[in-house]
This record gives sequence, structure tokens and C-alpha cells, in this order.
Amino acid sequence: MMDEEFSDGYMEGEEEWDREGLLDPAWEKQQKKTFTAWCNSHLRKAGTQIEDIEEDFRNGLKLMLLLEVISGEQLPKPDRGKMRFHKIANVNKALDYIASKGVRLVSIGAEEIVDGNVKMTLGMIWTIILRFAIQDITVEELTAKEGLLLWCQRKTAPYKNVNVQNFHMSWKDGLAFCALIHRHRPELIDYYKLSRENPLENLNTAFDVAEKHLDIPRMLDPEDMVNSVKPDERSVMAYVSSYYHAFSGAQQAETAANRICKVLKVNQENERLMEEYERLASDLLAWIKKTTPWLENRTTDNTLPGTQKKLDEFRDYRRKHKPPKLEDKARLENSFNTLQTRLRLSNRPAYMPTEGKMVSDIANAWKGLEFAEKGFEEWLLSELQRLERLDHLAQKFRHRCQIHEEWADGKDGLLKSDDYKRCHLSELKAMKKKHEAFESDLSAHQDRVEQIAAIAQELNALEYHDCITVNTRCQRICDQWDVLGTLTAQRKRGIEEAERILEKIDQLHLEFAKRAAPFNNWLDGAKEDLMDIFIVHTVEEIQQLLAAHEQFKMTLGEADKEFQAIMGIAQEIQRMAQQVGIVNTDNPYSTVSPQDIGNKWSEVRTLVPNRDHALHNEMVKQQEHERLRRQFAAKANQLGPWIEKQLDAVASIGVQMRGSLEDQLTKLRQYEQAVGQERPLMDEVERYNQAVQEAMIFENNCTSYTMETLRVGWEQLLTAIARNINEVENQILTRDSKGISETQMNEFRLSFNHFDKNRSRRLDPKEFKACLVSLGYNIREDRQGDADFQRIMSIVDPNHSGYVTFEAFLDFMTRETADTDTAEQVMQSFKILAGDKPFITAQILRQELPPDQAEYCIQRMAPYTGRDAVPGALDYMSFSTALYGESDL
Amino acid sequence: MSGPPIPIVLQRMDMRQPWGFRIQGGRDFRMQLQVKKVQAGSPAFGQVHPGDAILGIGSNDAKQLTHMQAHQLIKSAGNTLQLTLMKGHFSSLDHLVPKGGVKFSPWKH
Repeated sequence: MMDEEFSDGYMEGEEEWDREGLLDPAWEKQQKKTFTAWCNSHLRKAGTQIEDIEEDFRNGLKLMLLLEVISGEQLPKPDRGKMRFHKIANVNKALDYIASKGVRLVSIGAEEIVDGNVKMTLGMIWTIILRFAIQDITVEELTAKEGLLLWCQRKTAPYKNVNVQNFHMSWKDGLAFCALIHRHRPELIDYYKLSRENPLENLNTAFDVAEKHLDIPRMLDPEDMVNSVKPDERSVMAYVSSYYHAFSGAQQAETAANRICKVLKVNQENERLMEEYERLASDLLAWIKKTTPWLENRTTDNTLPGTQKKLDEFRDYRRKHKPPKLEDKARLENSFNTLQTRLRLSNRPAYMPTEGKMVSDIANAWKGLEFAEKGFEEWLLSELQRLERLDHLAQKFRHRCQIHEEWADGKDGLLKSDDYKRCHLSELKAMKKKHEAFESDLSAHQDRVEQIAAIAQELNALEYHDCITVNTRCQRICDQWDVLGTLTAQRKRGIEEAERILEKIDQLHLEFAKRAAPFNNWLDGAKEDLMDIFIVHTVEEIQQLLAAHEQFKMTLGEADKEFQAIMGIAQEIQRMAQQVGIVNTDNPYSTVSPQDIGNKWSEVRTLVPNRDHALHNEMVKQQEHERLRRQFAAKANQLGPWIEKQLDAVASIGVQMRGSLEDQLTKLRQYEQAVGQERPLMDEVERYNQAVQEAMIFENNCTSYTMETLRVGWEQLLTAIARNINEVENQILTRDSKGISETQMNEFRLSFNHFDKNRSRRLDPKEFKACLVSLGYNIREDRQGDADFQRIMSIVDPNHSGYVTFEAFLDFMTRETADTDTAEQVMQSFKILAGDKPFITAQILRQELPPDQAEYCIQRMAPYTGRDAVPGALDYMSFSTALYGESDL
Repeated sequence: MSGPPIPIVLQRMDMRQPWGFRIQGGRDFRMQLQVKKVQAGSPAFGQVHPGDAILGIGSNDAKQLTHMQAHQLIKSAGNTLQLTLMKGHFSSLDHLVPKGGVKFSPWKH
């Protein structure tokens, strides 16, 4: 292809030459000057030059040297003799070399060069210029001449007073040369001071600057350019091509620098992602490590406020601290997948997290956290319930103790009194009866003391936090009880001894005492019942208490009759005592005075409505609890099935394969949005749940959903959507970077899903193998097949996770068959920057690359140790291979 | 394709002369150490081939070596380097790939 193009260009030149070359000696003069300068610009590298172009190439020696310098290749050894046939042989060696580069040399013979034929010599040099300085110019696959023209046009496009259309007239005013220089090295020429009116000055400026700063020798004469009607096209082309080579070297370096930058940026971004992964993983693991023991610790300080505080802390954990960590975990998994995709797509080795920070390690730690969390709230609530019961029991204990202590207060003093030795018979009789009554009272109190002891024992058994106080008080009561028993027996013996002397009975007092004592006991009992502390959890329980109370109220009529009767007796005693003039009407048979009965009765009558009120309030409270249960249940029953439905729908998206990946992504985003819109409902349910908990409601029969199940479902849904979105995005990334069609994509998904029997979105090695076979892979059932398959596994599962994700599967199915050697490309780019040397310096790196990338290289490149090393030389080759996890040895 | 482990010995004139092959993998990459490229005309040329798995370097088991350790061992070997290779272990998987396009046909399974 190139040969043909070149031959065309060459032939065209040949025709021109034949037609016009002989006609205008001015062009010949021009070419001689220009071509001589062009040849010298190369020959000087070999430390020589020519002065007369038609003379100095005649022996062929400098011609061969010129070709060696410009091609960088070795030509056959020249013949050293001075005979004509030696010269012809040398020129032929040069011509053969040119021909070997695919150039057809039409009508140029060695004899004519040796004879010093100007026309032939110039033609040959032009051939060399065309082949070695112009042919390699390729701009958008045009021919060399058109390519050079296009390059000039593009470079001078911003300069309004320059219009390059050809390689003769367009250059006469010198502005095009100046523009080319100014475009690449603006500091060398003050372009906007130039004028079209001063062509000589313009040309001189350009040629001077090119010679001084760009190392391009003068090849054209400004006067010739200005004075000739039409400057020689070949001369201008030869000179302009030197500009192209001077500047395109810089352009090449820029392209190389860009490539290196691109590659390094990918590496830097990957390293940033790895660091971020490590940081996120460390933070998350630290948090899990800190939080798990707290969840595992199932002890409280055994008090209600302490336990309530712990419940509040748990609520904070569930609602404030855990959700962002769950997001972190999802982000971690997703960024890990994204990173691996990026590495695969950029041909880099897979990323291995630090020991202990693998995705599976995090999943395990998280599992441990969830395991520790399981049942925590339930345990805490039951603990709360237990402590509340205990609290009620303690109150009951204190209440009973107080009643008993009030009763027992001063009793020992009375019992110790020897009043029965100084009284009348009647009084003694009374005293005896009174004491008997006290004894029965005492035995009646036996039950109560036993109950107090029983409650104390229960408090001990349930590990009430303040058992010391309880036990001290209980012990005091029991001790006192024992003392009272002893004193009572002593007093009984004393009275019985005195009884034989004193005998008289007051019937009425006796009668009163007989009736008042049981009634009083009944009153005490009733009072106690009416003040009884109750604890209920359901409407039914309070209804039972209400029914019992109503039943009690029905007995009040009978009690009133008894009360009237007893009071009647007391009034009768009063009346009779007045009749006989006895001042002391205290009833010797009774510890209970009519006053006491009256007070207690009125107390009981006041307590009845109080009890009515308390029970009624409790009823309202229980109804409120019922309402809270229903309120929570209503929302929970709405949210629960919704979450379940969404979960099913999200799970089926990847499986059903309807529509393109973008459609799936859109659908998933819709689900994500839908979940966001349901957030207020979730918050509402949380609030209702808190109301339920704060009301100390422990059971709810109105719904099968607990807050716990709803939270878990909600989080599962969020995680599932985020994971699905990430997967689809990675699939799009893979698809786009590899140009997979939607049909092919569906083919892959169809086969993958077919073998993903348990819908886990990954295949185990057995399933994966079956899948490959079904896709036509030739994996045999023998040792060779096993070895092949092991190799495939090491590609699709470099982390040895034991399964194959859809993405890895996709990547494998579409991997490029020819391994693009990108390490080689980077090395090549560094080589260009290094000017073909096998090492590079920090100075060049800082000069050619942006600071960020330059420092990245300087920090990582090892010193170069080759023979030709200069101080500070860096080894870019090992650096380039290391980027891809490879080493040259 | 892959055969038994084969011991080979490479020789060079001078410590500064490169062996002329490129390695990839290592324990830290969880990837079998393997030959990626061989320089024509180098001491390794003709003995070592792209796709060979490197099982041992001298008396060292390559499975235990990180990429850098393997690199140092080979680089600092004197003028004689002993390698144990599995020929063609990592050469192309192309012979497994179905001819023509990939088409899903579950009944093959």
C-alpha cells in the first residue's frame, strides 16, 4: 500500500521533472542549494559534509554514509578503491539499499551519478528525501505529500493571514514559516509584529530562528524565494519536512506523556480505591469488634432505671448507629466489586485485601454481630418485665409491713403491764376476755406475718436489688412477733391466776365484743382488699377485678345492717352506764371501740368509690394499650407484606431478564425511590413501636409482625436493591467496555440463570463447569479436562472464594483472545520521553508529566544500574512491568 | 497441554546480562508464578516459553514465594539458574472455546 502511494508520488515528481526541470535553471539552482543543506544537516552527525552536490557523491562513499545516518541501519562495506568500477559499485550499493526500501528508481543509473550528472543526482537526492523524510509522515492516512500539507494547514489555521494551499506560492511571504514556529515555540517569534509587506524580513526571521533554536539549517535563500516567480516545490517540501520532524518529535513526546498519565491515573485511582476499601474495612471491623461484646453482655444492674437506660441505648444502636454501618458494609462490598471490575478491564492483577479484611471476613464479623444481637431486645424486655414485677412485690411488702408494724406498735408495753393486779373483778374478767380477744387477734395476724415472710422470701428468690433492707425489716417483724407470743403467754398465765378472785361479766360488753371483733376483722380485711395494689396487662384482667369489686359492693348492705346492730349495742351500753352512773364505759371485752368501728366503716365507704375510680382508670389505661397495639398492628400489617412483595420483585429482576440492563437499572432505581417514599411509614411504625414499649406492653396478638422482623426485612430490601444496582452497573461497565450486544448479553444471562438453581446469583464450580459445557466449551471428562477447568477457575475466581459471580462469568466469556501487552505500551512511551535511552531522569519526568504523576514515578522507580547509567538514572522498564504485576529478569 | 514438572538450567556469561524472560504472579497475587514473555536471543530463549508455570526456583518451592521474592531469587542467581517448569500450563485456553458464536443449549449438559 505504502509502496504504491509512494511510487505514485515519485512518478508524479518524475514527470514534473521531465517537463519542467530542464526549463527553469532557477529551480535547479534552488534545489542544489536546498538539497546540499538538507544532506549536510544529516551528514554533520557523522562529522562530515558536502560542498558540491554533483561532485561529492560521485564516489558513492558519502552517499552510503548519508543513507546510514538517516536510516540508522548498516549498509554493506563500501569498496575502498578509486577506480571507476569501485565508484559504480558503491553508488549501486546505495541505490540497491534505496530499492530495498520499496522505492522504484526509474531511469536513475549509477554511471550517471558517478559522471556527476546534476539532473540525476538531484533526482536521486529528492528520492531519498521523499522516502526518508516525507514518506513516514502520516496524517489521517493520506499520502505523504497531502499529509504534510494537512499538517501545515492545521498548524497554521489559527493565523488569519496565512493560507497554505501548496508548497510554493503559499510560502513566499514567509508568514507561513513564522506561523509554524510561533505555533510550537511562541516565545521565539513576536508573530503579531510581522507584516505581509516585509517578506524578506519574515523569511530571514524564520530561517534565523529555525537555525539558532530548532537546529534546522538554512536550506532556502530568502532572496530566491522573493525573487522567483514560483519557488521550487521540492525545495520547500524538503525544508518544511524538517520543521515537521523538529516539531512532531515534541508531539510524539506529548502523546507518550499522555499515555503514561492515563495509565498512571488508572493506577492511582485503583490505589485510592484500595486504600479506601482498607480504611472502610478497618473502621467497620473496629466498630463490630467494639459493639459485639456489648450485645453479648446479657447482664443488667438489676434496677428498673438502669435496664430502661440499656433499652434506650439498644434503640439508639438499632436506629442511629447500625443503619449507617450496614450502608458502609454494602458500600464496601460494592466498591470491592467495582475495583475488581476496573482492574480486570485495565488488565491489572486482581486486588488482594490485607489478611483479615477480605469481604468474607467482614461478612463473618457482621454475622457474628447479628448473632449477638439476636434476642437481645427480647431479653431486655423480659428483664424489664421481671424487674417491674419485683418492684410491685416490694411495694406490696412495704405496705403489709407498715400495716403490721402499726398494729404491733406498743403491743409489747401493754402486754408487759401488770394492770390486772390492781383492778376490779369485772375489769379483770374483761381484761381476761380482752386478752383472749388479743390472742385471737394475734393468731389472726399469724397469717399476715407469714405472708410478709413469704413475700420477703420471694423477693430474695427473685434477687431483688435491695434485699438487705427487706430482710432486716422482715427479721425485725419476726423477732417482735416471737416476743409478742412470749409476752402474751406470760400475761395469760397472770390473768388466769387473778381470775379466780374476780368474776363478773358485762353481758352487753360481751355481746358487743362478740359482734364487733369479727366485724372489725372483716373491716380490716375489706380495707386491705380495697387498698390492694394490682398489676394487670389486659382488658380481661381488669374486667375480672371490676367484677370482683362489684361483687364486694353487693355485700355492703348486709354489712351496714351489722354495723347498725353493733352501734346499737354500744349505744345501749352508753345509755345503761349513764343510768347507773359509771363514768368509765370502756368495753373490757373488746380492743375495738365503737369509735374504731365507726371510723373504719366510714373509711371503707370512702375507699369504695376510690377503688371504683382506680379500677376505672386502669380500665381506660388497658383500653389505651389495646389501641396502641392495634395502631402498631395496622401499620405493621401494611408495611410487612409490602416489604415482602418488593423483596420478591427485586429478586426476580436479574432472573427474568426482561429488557436491557438500562431498563433493569431504571426499574431498580424506581424501587430504590419507592423504598425512599415508604421511609415515613417505617418511621411511623418505629414511633408506634416506641409508644407500645413505653407503655410497657409486652405482647401484641393483633399482628404477627414485630418491629424486629420489619427492621430486618427493611434492611434486606435496601441491601438487595443496592447490591442489584451495583451488579447491573458493573455489567453495563463490562458490556460497554467490551462492546457486547444486548442479544449476546441475554444469551449469557439465560445460561447463567439456568444453572443458578438456588437463585444465589453465583455458581459453584460444578454448576459453572456444566454451564461452560452447555455453551459449547470443550472441557473433557478426564485429567486434562480437570486441569483445563482448574485454570479457568483461577481466572474467574482469583480470590478463591469458591464461587463464580455473573460478572466474573461475563468477563471470562468476553475476554480478549489476544492479550494486549499494555506493559509494553507504557514502556514504549517512557522510551520516547527518555529519548530512546534505557533509563529516565527525575528532571525529564518533572518536565514531561504533571507534578502528581511525575512524583508518583520518581517515588516508585528503582535506580537504573546498566553500564550506561548517569547519576540519578531511573529504571522505567521494571516500573512499567510492575504496574501490571510483572517483572523482567 | 500441561505435562510433568521439568527441571531446566539456564546459563549466562555475566551477572549483568538479563535472563531474558518476564514473570507474572506470586503468592501475594494468589496467582501461579508463570512466564509471560521471552526475549529472542536471550539465555532463556528456546528453554522457557510464554505460558510455562514456574514450580520451583533452585531449591525453593515457588508456591511459597511472593512476586518480589521470586524476582530477587532469579535476579540474584549467579551465572546458573535452575528452574522447575510445567510446560504450557498457562498457554491459551483457545482450544476449549467453541468454534463460531456462543449459543446456549442446556441439553448438552
